Amino acid sequence: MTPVSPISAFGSIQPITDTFSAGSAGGVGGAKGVTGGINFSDALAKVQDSLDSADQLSQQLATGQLTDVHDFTVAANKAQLAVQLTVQLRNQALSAFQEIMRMQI
Amino acid sequence: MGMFSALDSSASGTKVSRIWLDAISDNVANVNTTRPFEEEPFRARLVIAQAYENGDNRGAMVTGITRREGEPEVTFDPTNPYANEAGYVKRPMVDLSEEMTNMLIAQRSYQANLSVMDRVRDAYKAALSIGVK
Amino acid sequence: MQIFTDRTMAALQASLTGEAQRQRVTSDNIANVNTPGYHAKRVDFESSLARALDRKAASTVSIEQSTAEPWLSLNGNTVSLEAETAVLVKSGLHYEALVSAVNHRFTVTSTAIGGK
Repeated sequence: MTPVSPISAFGSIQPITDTFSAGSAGGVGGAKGVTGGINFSDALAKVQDSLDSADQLSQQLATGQLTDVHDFTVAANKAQLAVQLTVQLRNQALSAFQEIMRMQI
Repeated sequence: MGMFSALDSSASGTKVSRIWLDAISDNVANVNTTRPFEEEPFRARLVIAQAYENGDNRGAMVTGITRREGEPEVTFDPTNPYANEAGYVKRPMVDLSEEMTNMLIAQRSYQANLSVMDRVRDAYKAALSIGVK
Repeated sequence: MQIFTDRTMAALQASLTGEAQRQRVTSDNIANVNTPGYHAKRVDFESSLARALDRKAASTVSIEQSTAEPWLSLNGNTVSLEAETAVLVKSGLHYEALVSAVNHRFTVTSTAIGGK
């Protein structure tokens, strides 16, 4: 019986952020990632910024120092929508990734 | 508090209007009150209102309530128990037509101030309902 | 868990409690608008809350009750109906804004958890 040739190791698994962070968000240059180049670390940083600013305005509202309440409402809505958008992007990216994983086998 | 100072201003306006209405009702109640000739006749109350400004707090306030000055009208009415020996009586210093006109103005300004409070409250609630489904 | 007990949530809850107390005290004042000798009461928690937020360490917020400045009145009663109404309206609006702020926090957290 001829020895079975050893099974070659898989190529090293790239971290997910590398796959997804090819180039600027939605940019032309990065066509590497399955999601077309969405920069998740950037998006998350922006979401955290909007959450922080909504938090700051909440504190001002609590102490009664907020002059215009619509400032807080607009910031809170922006933060909520940013979080929802990020979560949706993550879900889409994840299902696309799973689709591809199914295909390869 | 930007919007809340609007509420304070209209509250102060409401208070001034209410004090004015109180004075007017007092005057109208005494439109026929006569007193003995030697005493002072009833003099109508006049409310003095001024604007105040204290940084963000603005509005109106009552700085004093005075009595109408001048000489009272003297009429001949010997049947009045308060007439003097010659039969003259001092009329109370209340002009009914002026009081009724003032009452309309005071009431309208009371309603206008309350309406401002309503609108400010509606605006605040509209700001809160941004984005709510 | 940090997401539920951080400074902002604590500040919002303290403010809600303070406004609720203010509404109770103001209703009490309005109920006594004709009581002779009654002095209108006031609630102040904003200064205590602002001081607590300035300090970095944990501290408690206290709700202080005081009597309003007396003004000339016929029977010693210092309640002005217009002023109390204004306080009640402001307190109610502020309460709604605080509730909206708390809802915002919970919505963000549940979106992140639920992934929807």
